[in-house]
Amino acid sequence: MKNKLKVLRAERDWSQEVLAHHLDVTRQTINAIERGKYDPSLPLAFKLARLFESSIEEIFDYQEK
Amino acid sequence: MNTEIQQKFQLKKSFILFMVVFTILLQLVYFFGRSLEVSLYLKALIALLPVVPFLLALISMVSMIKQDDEMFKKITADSFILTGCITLTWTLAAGLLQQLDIIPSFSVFYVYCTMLMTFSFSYLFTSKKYQ
Repeated sequence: MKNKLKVLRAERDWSQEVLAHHLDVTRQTINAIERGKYDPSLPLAFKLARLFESSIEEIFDYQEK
Repeated sequence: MNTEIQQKFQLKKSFILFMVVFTILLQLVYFFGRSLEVSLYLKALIALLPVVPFLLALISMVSMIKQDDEMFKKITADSFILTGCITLTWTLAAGLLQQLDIIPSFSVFYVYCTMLMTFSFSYLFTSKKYQ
């Protein structure tokens, strides 16, 4: 699943470590989400959306295979 | 957050400690257990000694998994599933070959050893998927 996490993070000048701290996950998880290797759970997606003050759809782009 | 890190460190420490005790007891039972000349019940108790620290190590491991974030929980769950599938397949194959006397019988203990190794490789393989 594609996402704008890296862009949103860069806009705020946050490192992966800082974002991970905000979401109470590991840096590796943030890295995996950014690279599209791991799709976050719904609660984590909501946490991300709230943190970046946007909707889940604005951050994540779901494409059916 | 700090207490969480401390808790994780404490759990890791106890896990390592239990595994060290387990390894020592396992070596002792495995290499010297047969030569013991004691009653059958005492021998059984001695044989089961390594199970106690292993169980405690497992409890620590479960607590560590509980504190992991969702991706690492998924990696662990995937690894357990993969290990289960591999172990079921090879024990079935080996069991059938043994039933027909094609391969010799071996101790169930080796299933445990192979399972541990399989889990380690499964964990490495699964975590690579998310890197």
